[in-house]
Amino acid sequence: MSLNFNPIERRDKVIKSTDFDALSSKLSCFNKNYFSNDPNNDSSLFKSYIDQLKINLPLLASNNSLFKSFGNSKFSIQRLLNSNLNENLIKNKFPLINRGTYIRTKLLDILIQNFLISNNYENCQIISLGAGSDLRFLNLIKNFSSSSPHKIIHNFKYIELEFKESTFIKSFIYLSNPTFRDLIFNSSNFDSSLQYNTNYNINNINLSTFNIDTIQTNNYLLYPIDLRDKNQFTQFIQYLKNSTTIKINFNHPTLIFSELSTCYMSSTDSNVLLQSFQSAFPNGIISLYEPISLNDRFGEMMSNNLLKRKIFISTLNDYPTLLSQIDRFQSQITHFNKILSSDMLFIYNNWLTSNEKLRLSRLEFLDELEEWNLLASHYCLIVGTYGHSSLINTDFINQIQSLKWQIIH
Amino acid sequence: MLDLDICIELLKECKCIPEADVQEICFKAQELLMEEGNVQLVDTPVVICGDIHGQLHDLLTLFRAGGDCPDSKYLFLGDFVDRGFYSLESFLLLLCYKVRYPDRIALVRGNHESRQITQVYGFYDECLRKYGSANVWRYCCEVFDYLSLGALVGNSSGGVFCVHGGLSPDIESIKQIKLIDRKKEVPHEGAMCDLLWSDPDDVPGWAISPRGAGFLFGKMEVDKFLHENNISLIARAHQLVMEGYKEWFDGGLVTVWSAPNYCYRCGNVAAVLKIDDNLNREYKIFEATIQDANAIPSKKPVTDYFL
Repeated sequence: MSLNFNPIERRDKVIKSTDFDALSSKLSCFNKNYFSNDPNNDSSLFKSYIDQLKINLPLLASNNSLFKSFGNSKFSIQRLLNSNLNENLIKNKFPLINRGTYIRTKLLDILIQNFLISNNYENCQIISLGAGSDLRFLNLIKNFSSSSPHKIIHNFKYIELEFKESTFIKSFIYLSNPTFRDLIFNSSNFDSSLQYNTNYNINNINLSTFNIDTIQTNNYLLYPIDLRDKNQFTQFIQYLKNSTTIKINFNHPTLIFSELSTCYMSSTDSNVLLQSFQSAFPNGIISLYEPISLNDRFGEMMSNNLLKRKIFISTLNDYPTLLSQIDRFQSQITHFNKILSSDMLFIYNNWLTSNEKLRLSRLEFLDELEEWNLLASHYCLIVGTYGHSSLINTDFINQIQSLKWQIIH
Repeated sequence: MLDLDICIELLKECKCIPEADVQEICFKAQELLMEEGNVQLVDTPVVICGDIHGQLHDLLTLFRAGGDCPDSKYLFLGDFVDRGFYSLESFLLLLCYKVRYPDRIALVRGNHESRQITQVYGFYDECLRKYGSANVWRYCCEVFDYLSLGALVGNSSGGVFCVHGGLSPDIESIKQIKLIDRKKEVPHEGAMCDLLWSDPDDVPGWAISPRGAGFLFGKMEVDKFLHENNISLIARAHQLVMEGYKEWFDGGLVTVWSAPNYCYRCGNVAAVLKIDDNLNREYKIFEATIQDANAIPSKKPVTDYFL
């Protein structure tokens, strides 16, 4: 197989591969017990996902399009996953990376929980942009079915959007594992679930002939898309409108979030994309987790160091501060009722209980305090609500406003 | 036969020296260090340096900023190893100078000069990678155990007490430090641990440290310690300062940081502190050496971010 790539292919390879870097950091967190007894981050689900990925690695690598779609500019998916999932390398992750990965996961979990509770888990939807290997949907279902086994959730929809190579891998892993399959297709909490064997031929999953990159049930959609491509976005909305399975009500409150994914697009592309989401889902919340340069020397080095790895983050310098991110929401994306923003350091200091912080400090000696303060202040969460405020549950706004924020606009 | 001058030249070029030479350097350094007190007395003029963390190229810049060894006399406040890519070369270079010019360089132990910490923050892995076994790491750890815990610059009144981290609630006078049995791995608590781990902060008295070891101490404790010991300044390292140094508590304490662009990512400048015969302070600021990314001998990404 040829390993010659043009610059655009190389750039996209690097973007697609960031998912495995995140997965690797998360694996390290699980290994160090950061998520112990966390119902939103079930370790057995995570371990199953990693194991399934590892077992199928040789086959994944033999798939021509996957082989070419991931890895550093020069290397293949096999090499990438070997290094990202290698337990010996992972045990060397620095404590500040583990802590940051933990917080980054927690802050979006907290936001999502607030959204779901304020909507009573019903008549609302979540859209994850660049979902990658995120297992939040499975965790939600598993958590819900163990806490309220007999409660039926009406009209709750979860959509994950990602490059097609990534949705292909995720589809394969989800469909080839009985636990995942059951959670997706046979949850007793849904008013009506889709029986998987009618749509997906599961009995003999064989990666060499596997060609599924979309999973759709009444409540869940894993959908392949290049979010930078306006035509693909239009097709996606059309797909939702035509679907007799997932049946989206576009007017329902919709939480749209990106955990370090839209930042890899150009700022123009990401702003246009978010506007398109606003038009399609007129009542919602947009939440982005992104790096910011703060226009300081740490931010400058961050930008340079990532460029050496061929990672270009447009928003790092286009929206370098919390205020400029707020301004972006106001004047580039527009239509927001309320915008809230905090950096990760502030969130660590203010959202976690002192018991939780004590637990983290006992997991690992974090000697990199000053570095942690720098690194954590260069990542931010920004949340904007838009649409009819009566539909965007006022409970949600009240709840998240009761969390502390650095800036509320 | 060990030729220290050749070793120094090789190390400055970032080259490995034979394992047998490492062993001999460590052994000789240990013999010298075991004769030194827990608190060394150091004459002026002297250049006081903070954390190095394996940034060899920046250590060489430091020697240009402060004057070559042995022309200038140096006092290093620990954290020679971990995080940077050349911990071994940096530490061995300092040990070579120590063995070659024992009276021209003094070394104080930092919290990273510990078996436990070096296994988390890179020095252990670096030794393993460069020599294929942990022998070299073990020789260095033996040396760590003999490093002194502090230094007193200028033996007349109004001198400078130097330590890696800071004060301890168990220590009121420098004399008490002299009673510690230091020749061991850094403990998790107690006076020896605190000296290597504590930080100054705007707190009344003592407070719990967010690092999980040592304490936070405020102006009151610093003033008390200065008065009790008849000194004018506490010089310490341990905390990254973007400007290279930071004076605290009306100049009663200073943090000196000597690793520019720490971890190849923080973007900070570095400093050393010159103390002259009249105990005047002069800070020298220096910047990071521009390094070719390809020269970094690691398969790991240069630095970690969240992606």
